[in-house]
Amino acid sequence: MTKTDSHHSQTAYEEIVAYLDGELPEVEIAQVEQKLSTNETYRRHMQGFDRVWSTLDELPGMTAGDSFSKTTIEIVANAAEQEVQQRTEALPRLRRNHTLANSIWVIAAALLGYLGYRTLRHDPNEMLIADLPVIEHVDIYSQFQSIDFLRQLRTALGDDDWIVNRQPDSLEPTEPMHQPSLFDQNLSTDGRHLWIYQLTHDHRLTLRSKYNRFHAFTPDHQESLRQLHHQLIVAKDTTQLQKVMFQYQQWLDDQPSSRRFELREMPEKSRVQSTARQVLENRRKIALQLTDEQIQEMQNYILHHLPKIRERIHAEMSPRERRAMSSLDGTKRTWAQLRLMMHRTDMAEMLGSTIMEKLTLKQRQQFQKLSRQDQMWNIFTWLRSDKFKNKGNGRREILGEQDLEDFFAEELDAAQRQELLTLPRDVMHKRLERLYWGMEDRPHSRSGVTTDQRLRPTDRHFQDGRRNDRPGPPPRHLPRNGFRPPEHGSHDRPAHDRGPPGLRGSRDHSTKPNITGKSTPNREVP
Amino acid sequence: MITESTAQRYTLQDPDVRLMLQVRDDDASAFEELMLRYQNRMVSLMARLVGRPDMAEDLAQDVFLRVYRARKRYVPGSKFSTWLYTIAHNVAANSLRSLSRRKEINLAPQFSGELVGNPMDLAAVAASGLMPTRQLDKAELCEVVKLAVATLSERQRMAVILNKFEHLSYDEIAEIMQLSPPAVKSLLSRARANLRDILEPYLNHGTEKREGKS
Repeated sequence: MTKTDSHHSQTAYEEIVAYLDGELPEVEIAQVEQKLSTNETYRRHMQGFDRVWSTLDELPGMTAGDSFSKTTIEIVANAAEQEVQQRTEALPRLRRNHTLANSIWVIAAALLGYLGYRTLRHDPNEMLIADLPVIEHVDIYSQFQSIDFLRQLRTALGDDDWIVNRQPDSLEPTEPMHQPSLFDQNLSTDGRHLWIYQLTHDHRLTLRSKYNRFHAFTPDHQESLRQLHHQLIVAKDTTQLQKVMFQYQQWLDDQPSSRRFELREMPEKSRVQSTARQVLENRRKIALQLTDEQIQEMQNYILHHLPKIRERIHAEMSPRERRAMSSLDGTKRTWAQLRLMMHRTDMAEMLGSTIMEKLTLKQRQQFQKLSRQDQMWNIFTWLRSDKFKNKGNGRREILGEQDLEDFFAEELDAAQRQELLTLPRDVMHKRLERLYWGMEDRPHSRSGVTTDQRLRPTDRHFQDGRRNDRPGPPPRHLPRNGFRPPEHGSHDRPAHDRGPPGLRGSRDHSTKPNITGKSTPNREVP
Repeated sequence: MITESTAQRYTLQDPDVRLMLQVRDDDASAFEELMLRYQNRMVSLMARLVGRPDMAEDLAQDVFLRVYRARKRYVPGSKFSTWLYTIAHNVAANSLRSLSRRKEINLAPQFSGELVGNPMDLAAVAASGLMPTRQLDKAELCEVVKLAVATLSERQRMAVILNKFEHLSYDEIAEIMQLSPPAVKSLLSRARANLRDILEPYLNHGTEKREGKS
């Protein structure tokens, strides 16, 4: 039999068997019946299968014995009993496992929840931690736009301390000794947390206010401050620049708010120049502060040489001037003669060179840098400081109105007087006193600061309660809400109409108005 | 995966399913009822499948024990009998394998005479027409049929017995034996062809002898 024949017979057998078992569909049943009626062989096969199938009925069956059900029930009952016993025995272990599993689930759920909370929660200090270095230095970072400004300041002022008589540690950053540095590029989040943790309560409050200020900035401005900080910490000269920055911050803190605002408004180059001039002037001024002994020596020298000076001056006076000089009392006459001497170049130079011998090397270097006029100004200031020092009775000589008038009329030139007269009377009076004692620089542009800046009333004159650590208004170019100083407009008072009301409109530059409002002829000599 | 609707359908249609659900809920009387309903069929089935009537009751008890132990996992996904025969099929298969390993197969322990020996050899002798020409009596025919059934493979035997004696459809047999219905169809046709090849000469010979006598 070929393979094909075998396949055909197998298919035919399946068909016959399915027909006999009633498993054929209707269509195929009809086909099978058709074959049965026409195909003898097919019919014989069918009969053979059917007969053999019927023969299987001879295969004996069995019935369960009488005891089968009873035995089976007993077996099952035993199994059930064993099952219960096993379950009972396993109960404590199951309970323990159940408890253990529950505990593990609870711990896992708690751990998962905690991790999820840690992952998803918004850390309220996230921004503070992320921008901590910027926030801590937000005030000083708001004072300049690039680290080139710091480099220019360093070039102009060197690495010396800006403030000569400051406390040794007053310029150090406000971080405690063992704090990690906020300028460390690799400062981790944990390090920042530690930094905050070690702060004092007051410092934390300050940091909080700085954070609020930083948070109020626009995103662009915040980003610019971040960039500035990044530039600073990656700079090769970062250590020097940081020192300059902290010096600048310290120096700014000593400035009135108006000055800080003014500096912020300046172009960078002008700001550097203005700052450098003021710092250098301050250094010079501090350097030229004499000791009591030096002043005493100076006074002794002048008193010793006064008769000779007096003779020379007297010889050069006109008769009218001699009479005027004679009408003055002793002290006034001495001061008048001294003032006359200052106007004599040869005498001033002689006095200046002689006095320089009494100075230290450093003081001498600073003194030599001064113009002759400023040298004289310093000498008068030194002499006046001795005149009104304590005289042993614990009292200081009271500065009289006449002294101020003489000072105003004799030692200030017309431009300086005019500048002072633009101020309100009480302000001018206080200012004049400070000038008299040398507590302020002369009201002219010797140190590069404009006269207008020097004479402008400061926060000391208008106590508005603002502390020096307050930041003041932001620069004009920065976007912000709220008020800003108005731009100069057409409604501003003209410059010639400013000043005390009593003197307004009646100013004559050819006269020397005194502080009492009376006009005094401009005298070249007393 | 058995859906809820399938379970509900079989619960409604099959009273045995409802009984088994009671067994699942530890109802001992329901188990006894089920056992009484199926014990004879199970004993008979096992006797025919394994060919060892002496083991039939033990195997049937094993089936019922497995039913009881599996009660908590029972889900009505088909007729109860189908589930029961599946267990029976597994028990029988295990038993046959075990017997095969121990080489203790003895399909005709009660038979004495010419047919003692290897059932395949005996079947071959029967098929060759070399059997003594004589009238087949009923007992002898029974033994010959036993031998013929014993020549079938385990799967063929299972399919034949479920189909012939338990009157199960091809679909039910397929579910019990985890086959497809066409595979069952093919399996049964081959089994019946084998039986015919063995028994037909035997039957023809007996018929001729009977006809000759008459």
